Amino acid sequence: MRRVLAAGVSIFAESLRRQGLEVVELDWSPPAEVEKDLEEILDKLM
Amino acid sequence: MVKVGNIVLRGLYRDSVQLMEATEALRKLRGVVDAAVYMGTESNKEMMRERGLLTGEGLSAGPNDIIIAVAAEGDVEPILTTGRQILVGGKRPADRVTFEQALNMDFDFASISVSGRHVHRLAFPLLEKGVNLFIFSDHVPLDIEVELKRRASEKGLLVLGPEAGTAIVNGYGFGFANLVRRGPVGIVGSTGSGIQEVTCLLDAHGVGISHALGVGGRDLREDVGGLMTAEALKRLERDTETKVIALVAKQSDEKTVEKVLDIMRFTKPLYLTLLGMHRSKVAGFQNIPTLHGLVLTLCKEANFEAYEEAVRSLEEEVAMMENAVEKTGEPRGFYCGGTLATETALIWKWLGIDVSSNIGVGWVRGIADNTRSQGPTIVDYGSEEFTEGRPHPIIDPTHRNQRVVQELNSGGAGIAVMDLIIGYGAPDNVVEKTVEQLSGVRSGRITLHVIGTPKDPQWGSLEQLSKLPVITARSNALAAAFAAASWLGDAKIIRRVVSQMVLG
Repeated sequence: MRRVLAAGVSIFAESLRRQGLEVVELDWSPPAEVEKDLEEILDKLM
Repeated sequence: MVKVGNIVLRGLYRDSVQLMEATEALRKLRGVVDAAVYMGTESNKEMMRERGLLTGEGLSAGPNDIIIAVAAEGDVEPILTTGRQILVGGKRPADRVTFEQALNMDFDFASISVSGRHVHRLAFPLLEKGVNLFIFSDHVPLDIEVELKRRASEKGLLVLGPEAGTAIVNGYGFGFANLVRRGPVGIVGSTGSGIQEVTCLLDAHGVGISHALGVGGRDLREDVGGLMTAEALKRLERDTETKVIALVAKQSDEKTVEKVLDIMRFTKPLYLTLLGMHRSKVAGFQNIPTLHGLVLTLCKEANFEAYEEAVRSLEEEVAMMENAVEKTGEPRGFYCGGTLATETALIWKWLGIDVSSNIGVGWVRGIADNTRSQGPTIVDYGSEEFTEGRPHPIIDPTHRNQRVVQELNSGGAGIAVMDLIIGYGAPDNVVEKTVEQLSGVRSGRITLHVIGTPKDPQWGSLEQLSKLPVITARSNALAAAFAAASWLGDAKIIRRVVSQMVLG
């Protein structure tokens, strides 16, 4: 195993790093609820 | 005079560990009586309300907002401002990548622990790119899980989870995992703490593991169909390092297990522990009732000398525990690991104890209110209702520990059974924190089982447990048997459980 992508809880990314893996952390935050509503509307339209 | 104040940071996201760290920082400030920093989900707001921490401001928060709540002697405003600075001022590391950037990079695995309802946004594109997935998140819709696993099976990829607590792949631990030696035993499990229990006990007996693949708590349900159990078993059957295979399940559908095992051809020995399934054989394979029992069978297969030594030392431990039995009040179990909670329920039920629990299996009565016990009760603090927008109790066992103190001091419980899980994914200070939180116990006894190995970073702190009124047990099965023996005032119960459910 060479490289792992980590998304979410920081302690899990840190644990993988401590084991000597190359860890790339995703800059992630949940999409705004407005966006979710818009997605649902678009889903219905398409 | 204690005042309560809230502020809401709208549209700001921090992961559950960052929120826990902010809470701990606020609790240390002068005058603070209680503090909580949570995402504004309904269950979190309810918990804050019960603790007297919610004001009208906090009530207006939504699930994408952070609530900072403080109860303090004197002025709460400066404390709330400090909370805001901790959360807003904390800069994210510059080396993080956007999802678009990530999709242009090569990865062998992705570890996903974002909120369950957003998992699909990351999981499907990554799977499409050929990346294996470890998904810790719960609350992932079932149809998403089935579709992810169906696509992964077609591509020969792994989707470990959702609700995968642990995995060890080529010696690397994902989620909650322990530093165990490498060796001939390969494990597949729809359980997290169950896999940790088996790998750590094997390690203590000198037997190592090749891979341990947690496939998620729902994989062996009829609607998921064991898609990833089948894929993981195939890998272990092909793997040259693996000489013996174990399949562990917290909950499983008998027909689904049979279907998965029937279509496979095994050239290696395979043993099962399907908790709560009372048949001694399933699809022709031996089904061992407890995790400790499974470990002894695996030792016998992998290293007979290790097995003989394990049985000899078990005999010594049973004798020691028998001597420690004193008659107590009711036994109650408070767990971070759901599979351990399930195993305790199984052992108590086998002993004829009428158990109530939130573990969600048909063979144990449910409880209407998880915050109140009725008779012998077992509460899994890692179940979904406790973890939405909050850290898993292996990361922050505070609520579980507070419950142990409250139940013992009120006399509701005479003896509490609990786990303490160390290793990767658990904070470095989890032992100190637990010892400090349990130091308020004034009556009753605790029987505690540590899941960990001497190589885990927190192992050195375990000597602090000697400050507490605890009896430590080598396995969860022994802890469960000890608590039952204490309540029933019959030390022979420990030997009965060991001979029938561990050695039998």
